[in-house]
Amino acid sequence: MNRGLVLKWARETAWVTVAFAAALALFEGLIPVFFETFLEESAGQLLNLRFVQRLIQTLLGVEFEGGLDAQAAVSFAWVHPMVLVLTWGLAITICTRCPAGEIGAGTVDVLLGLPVSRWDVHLSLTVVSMAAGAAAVLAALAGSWLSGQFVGDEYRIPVRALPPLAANLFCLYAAVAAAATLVSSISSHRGRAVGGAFALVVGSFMLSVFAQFWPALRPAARFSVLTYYRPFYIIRDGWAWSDMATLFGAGAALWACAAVMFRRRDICTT
Amino acid sequence: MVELSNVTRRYGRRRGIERVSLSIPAGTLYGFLGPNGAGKTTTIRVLLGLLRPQAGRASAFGLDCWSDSAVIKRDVGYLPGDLRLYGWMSCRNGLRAVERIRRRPMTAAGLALAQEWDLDPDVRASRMSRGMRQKLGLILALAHRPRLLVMDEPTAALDPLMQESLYTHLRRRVAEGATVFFSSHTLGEVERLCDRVAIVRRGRIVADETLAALRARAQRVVTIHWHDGAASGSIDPPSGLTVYRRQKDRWDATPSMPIAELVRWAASQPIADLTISPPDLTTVFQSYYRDDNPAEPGDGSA
Repeated sequence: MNRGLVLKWARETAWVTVAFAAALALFEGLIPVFFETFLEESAGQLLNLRFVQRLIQTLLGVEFEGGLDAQAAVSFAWVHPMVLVLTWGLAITICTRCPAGEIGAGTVDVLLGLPVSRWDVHLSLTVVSMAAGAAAVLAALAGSWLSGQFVGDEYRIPVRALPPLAANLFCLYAAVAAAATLVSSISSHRGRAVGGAFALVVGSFMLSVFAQFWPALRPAARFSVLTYYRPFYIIRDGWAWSDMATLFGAGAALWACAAVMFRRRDICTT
Repeated sequence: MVELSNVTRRYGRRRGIERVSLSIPAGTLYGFLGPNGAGKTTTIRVLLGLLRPQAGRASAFGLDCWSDSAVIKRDVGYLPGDLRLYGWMSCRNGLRAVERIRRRPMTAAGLALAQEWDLDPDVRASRMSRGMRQKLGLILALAHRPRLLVMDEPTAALDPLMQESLYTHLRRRVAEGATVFFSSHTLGEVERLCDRVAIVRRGRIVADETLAALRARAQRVVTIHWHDGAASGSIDPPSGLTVYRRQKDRWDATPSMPIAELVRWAASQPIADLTISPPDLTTVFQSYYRDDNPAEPGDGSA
């Protein structure tokens, strides 16, 4: 790892990290308050729709009878599509900076004209992306904790559940970051890398959704990242070691592939 | 210092470089001349470990340019041909950032260069003109005093005064023991600056000689004005002088004899004026670029 490279990318990604982290904190802070009001005032009319129920079941990874209860609602705050988009967006934004972003912008000539190995580059950007992910997850955790101070007990996530939730969200972030790094390592245009990485995660998301409606697809759902991120069970049972290990292991494998691809590839800006 | 041995690198169907061999001794100002698309930048990318040769071997300081690239670049200053800088980068913070990455002090030397070249150290690259960005690129390549400077068309976008200042700076570096690999498509600057020049054409090296050797092979033009135009018709040129245009009172000729002998012969003739041009390198270089160039060797090295 090269400290200078870490500082360079930290400088370049500081604002985007702050923006995504603030949005996550705000969302996690507001959604329990929203649900408390929404469920009590609207009696969950919208949630009686079968499609909406299925969608929420997909996101939560749990089947529930009747309406959305308080426990399901607070866990939904951690798996809401907005949370997923923000988490994945941050991972993809940072991890496609190099090599795809630097090649596309033409700055890779300056970067790789310096005495850094490609392994240094790969490792340094990983450190920055993991730090950004940790900051975003901590912001989400802080937002969730803070909102818990303003809602009733049943809409409050127990403090004991917050660390395992944050850890599992971080593992999800790491897996997506590794996938984005792999796509970036074989691409020479940032736009294509971002598009490719988003296609992967959206495809993974859609796999989970379709598996809910089409049982024949259920065995394939094991390849979806959402299968290994289930806040409902984490809040109920505590640490989901197996899910975290799966996400982390998949992420590590993808990250190692990205390192090999980047080390072996030719770099050409013209 | 730098050795390329039969290096080949193609881009699919597109031509890159073909069996390029070069040997650059330490302390040389080495010109690398060729038209656009000839393979100059590809050769530089192989040298810097950005491209892996498909055949052959490239080394610098005795180390392999692909596998030991990071070690080699500790002592390399590189200015890319199509320089793109980070928008946030000013001279001052750029020097600090590169200093941290290189783990080698260079800010003070870089700021001194910025002062010498009249570059505001606090303007960000996103607000710089092309010439200013080029100066910043040069400063970042020079400030750590590398042993090898690789410059890909470094004078592009520089004004003539700045070009002259850069030449002076490079000559000084070479006098101190550094080696400069200077890529250009402009004959004039290579002729003025370099000790040795390689000419690349369509991905192959077609010449690799000292400037002195090239000059020795270059043709001079001799112009003789006769006192008495009528008399010139009865004068025969010496065997080492080929007259290609014969007029009543003027000859244009190319000499193959020693200049001293030519002057001695001329002194015995009724001439009004004698002009001997400097060696015309342009003709030599152009001969390498012609499609029917017989000098192009089959193996790409000269």
